[in-house]
Amino acid sequence: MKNARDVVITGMGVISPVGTSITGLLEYLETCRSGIRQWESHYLTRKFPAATIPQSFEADFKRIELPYLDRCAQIAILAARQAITDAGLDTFEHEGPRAGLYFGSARAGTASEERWFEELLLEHRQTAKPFAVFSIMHNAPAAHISIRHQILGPVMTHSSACTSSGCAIGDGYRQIRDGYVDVAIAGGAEAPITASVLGAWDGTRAIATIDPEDVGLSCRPFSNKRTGLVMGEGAAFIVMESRERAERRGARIHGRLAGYGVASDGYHIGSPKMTGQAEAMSLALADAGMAPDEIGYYNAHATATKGGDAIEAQAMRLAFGAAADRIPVSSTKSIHGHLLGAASVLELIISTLSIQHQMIPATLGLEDIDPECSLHHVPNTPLRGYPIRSAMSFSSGLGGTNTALIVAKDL
Amino acid sequence: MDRTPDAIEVKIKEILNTEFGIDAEQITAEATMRDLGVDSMHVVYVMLDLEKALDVKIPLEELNLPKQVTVRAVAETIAQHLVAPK
Repeated sequence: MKNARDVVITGMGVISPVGTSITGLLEYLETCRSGIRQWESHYLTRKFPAATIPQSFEADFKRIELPYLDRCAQIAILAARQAITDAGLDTFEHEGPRAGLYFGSARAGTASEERWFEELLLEHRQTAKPFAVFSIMHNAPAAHISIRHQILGPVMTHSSACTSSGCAIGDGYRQIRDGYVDVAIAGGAEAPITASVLGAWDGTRAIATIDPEDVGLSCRPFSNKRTGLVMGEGAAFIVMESRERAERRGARIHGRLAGYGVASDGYHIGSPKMTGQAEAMSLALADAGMAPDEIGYYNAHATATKGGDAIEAQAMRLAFGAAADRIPVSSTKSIHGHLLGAASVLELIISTLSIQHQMIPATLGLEDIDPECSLHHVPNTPLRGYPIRSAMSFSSGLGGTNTALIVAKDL
Repeated sequence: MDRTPDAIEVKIKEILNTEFGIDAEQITAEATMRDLGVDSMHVVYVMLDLEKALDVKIPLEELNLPKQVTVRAVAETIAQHLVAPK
């Protein structure tokens, strides 16, 4: 596939359990420090490990705005603002429909929805507050960002579970590459740490138990000791532009989005399939015009479920062949948990930072590698002074959608 | 409770201040809702609060408030449209 236009990343922003700025995130990665804590709700007897951001963001907004803003929208607005500011931009009103916003979320206004259900079912209210619909709806975070920054082209919301922001970034990338828009803000947000979501996920039996010695070590991808995934909250965004636009305005370029692949399993609502995953990886490589051994780092989806990690390891071997033995692999979910719809974008940013800082992040808690997940793992300690030119970030979503994004050093 | 325009105006000001954090000094009788950053959903919320406080039914669909409505005009319109206590 021939790229019509180069797409470059000129802005990055993050609000996450492992840092509420890009600098903060980098520090967590360099020290391989966990953002996983114990979480509990008065509705549930079980205590959960969860990657939470231990602060409120309400003070960042006017009180009159807050009834509209679920926590998911709040962190989305703040992370998008960081990315836009990082790109040296603010309003896009002069771009008209040539600026787009591509957002991904699996659940969006969960806490607001839970609150309305409390009012309906426990307090027996017949009518919701007038803000309820607007704080619950899935596209609310995207709409708030577009209103604040006057993004007047496509404002799209993707929801494909754990690949939501991967699809959003892929959509924006293709729109720039093919000439429909010149600049795109893309990312995702999730604030699912609520009793209704954790209780529902507990029903799948896929949630990790709290590590008895250190709650921060509760998510152990690829390990024989893995017990399941750890839910996380957070938001992350990137600004993408056509190269000519970025160079014309003298923007700092963090990296080039070199390839995107999306493919689906067509198999099972809750179980992944190796071939669908491998297809997405191969499509991304083909889109980038790269051979497998040109990838310098693979940021895995690996959520630390028994079945999922092993299937991904097989899929990577299928797509990468012999190169799979040489490419450093880690799952940074071991420190930031699973941000569901915001996972892909956070992990793409991490992959970009790994190129910029010549540092391969590690998988925390990986002392005892499951032979079924055998790859070139980076356990516990990041590789420093490790120059790479490109990285792949892979995501796999419940329902069977798989995305792979390749970021490359801009030469 | 007193259901005169004056009393309703006082209650509206109180709701805008306590629920939405609008500075009390800004909420004059002649301030428009738009100037205060209050949109139609906030107005609906105020109405629902007033219904509870005054123990009345406010027929929202009949109010037909203009976009530049002032705090005083909202109070007067509500006073005119109050229907029998619930």
